This record gives sequence, C-alpha cells and structure tokens, in this order.
Amino acid sequence: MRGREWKQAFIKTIPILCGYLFLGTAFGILLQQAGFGVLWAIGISAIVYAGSLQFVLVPFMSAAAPLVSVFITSLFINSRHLFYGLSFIERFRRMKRRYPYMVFSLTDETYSVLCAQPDVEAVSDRELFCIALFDQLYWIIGSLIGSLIGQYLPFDFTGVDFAMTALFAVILYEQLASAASKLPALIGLFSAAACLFLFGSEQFLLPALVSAAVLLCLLRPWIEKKEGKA
Amino acid sequence: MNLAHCVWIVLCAALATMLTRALPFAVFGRREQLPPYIAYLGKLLPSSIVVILLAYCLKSYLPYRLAEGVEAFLALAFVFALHHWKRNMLFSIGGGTVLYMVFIRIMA
Repeated sequence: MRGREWKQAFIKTIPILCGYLFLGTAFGILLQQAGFGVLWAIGISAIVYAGSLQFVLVPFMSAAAPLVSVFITSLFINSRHLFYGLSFIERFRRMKRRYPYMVFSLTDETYSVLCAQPDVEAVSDRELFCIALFDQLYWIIGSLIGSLIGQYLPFDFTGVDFAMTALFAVILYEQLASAASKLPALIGLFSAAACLFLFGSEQFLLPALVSAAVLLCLLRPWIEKKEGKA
Repeated sequence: MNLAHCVWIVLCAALATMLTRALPFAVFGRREQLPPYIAYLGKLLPSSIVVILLAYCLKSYLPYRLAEGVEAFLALAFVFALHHWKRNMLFSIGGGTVLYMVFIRIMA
C-alpha cells in the first residue's frame, strides 16, 4: 500500500508541480540576479517556504532592510495563513510526529489540494504528508533550477503556472457541485469583489478573508439550516 | 553586502511565517473539542477562500483591467467547460493550461 500512497499524492499534486517549478525557478533567477547563489535559494525555500514573501525578501536582502520591518512585513504578507489552519486542526494533530511539518508546510497551494479531498478524514496520514512534502520539494527544486540554470532554459515555460489558477477553478467547481449551500462560495465572491473595489488588487486578500469569516459567522443560522438538511 | 545580516533577514522571515501558520494550532490545537464557531468556520471557510484565492490568481486584471486578462478568462472558461464535461481534474487543468500557454503566445 505504501507505494500507492505516494503515487496518489504525486497525482494530486501535479498542478502544484507545474506551478511551483515555474514560480520557484523565477525566484531562483531573481535571487541569482541579486547576487545570492544556490545555497541561499535552497536555504530560503527550505525554511521560509512562502511564495510571495520570498519574492519580497530579495530586495530586502539587497537593501539590508532592518529586521523589525522584515518581521512585520512577513507577518502581514502571511497573515492569511491564520485562516487555513482552522480547517485542519483536528486532522493534523492526530498525525503525531508528522504534525509539526504539516503545520509548517501549509501554503496556499497545499491548503487547496487538501481542501480538494472529498473527505480529508479518509486520506491516510502518510498520503497527506507526501502531498505536503512533495509540494515543498517542487518548490525547492524550482528554486534550484532557477538559481543554477535559470537563464539557459531551452524552452519558454511562461504561463505554465496557470495550472494553479486552473486548480482553484476546478476545486471551486467541485465544491459548488457537492455543497449543500452555495452561500459560502457566494460570500467568498462578494468579499473578493467588494474588497477588490475598496482596497485595490494589491491589498484585497486579507480584508476579503476577514470579511468572508465575519459574514459566515453572521449568516450562520441560515447556512446551518441548509447544511442540516443535506 | 552584509551576509550575516541577510541570514538574519531570512531567519526573521522564516520565524514570522511559522508563527502565522502555527497560531491557529497553538490556540485551538490542545483543546479536547474545538469551540463550535471555530469548527463551523473550519468546515465552511474553504468554500469561501477558494473563490478569494481564484480572484487572487487573477488580481493583475481585477477589478478594472479585465481586457488585459482575456487569455486567462477564456482559458478559465475552458477549464470549467472541460471539467463539466469529463469531471477529470488533471484533464481540465492540463487542457486549460495548454490553451492558456498557446493564447499568450499567439495573442501577445
């Protein structure tokens, strides 16, 4: 059974493979151009492992930014993670020795692959762990490629990271098809749209997540009535 | 370039990232039972969040530059169509991605 679990995890993470190899490569190239070599690429992708933050980190390193501003910016950029953990508290803590790594590696993309599982309770610990681990390996390998041979790649892969956008679309489709109530998805749509107009595309993510959480709480009586029927 | 300072920058970023990921688990992870509101949010937030993340992927075209993202929106419609047809995740994602890569090359 062991072999099957990692194969399953690999198949489920193929979209992330496309996205992370591409974005990781872009990160490696950026780092290389700023004068930081391959050890930095591996080190940062291994211990920071947060896509958008890593891109911001490069100019910080070149400018020797003050640590306090690095810390606060990092907290701010990654504050969206607070919302991801909530869905997996009970599932992850049963994973014992793998628990810390599952928490550490919960990126947007790993979160969404886990959300795409029809029943995350039914997926084995080992498979969940492989999903999380493979995603990070793709990211590290991408950074490595970018750092080492980024400029010499024989084929222009621009656009392959669209696989992650497509993954979110497919997950949305599946959730709409199976959800008892469409209200949570509509709340997400409304929150995203309202915050895009209010805060602009660079700042909308966090307010949209907060707004979705608040609206879900406010509408709980209606949503639970529908969920209860299912 | 001060290398030691750069190491500290990386460590600070790593620590801050770990804190944001660990906080929900640190606050609620030790309880026997999750507070009902947290259990409720944990169950339904993903449906809201996936829409928001999809918007985040398309943020360079939102809300006012829709025309610049026409390749992405067409490819996205194709993903939905493929998925509606076959209901096969990798097929839909692969088809949409290939179409997108073709679009941005011929329409640029």
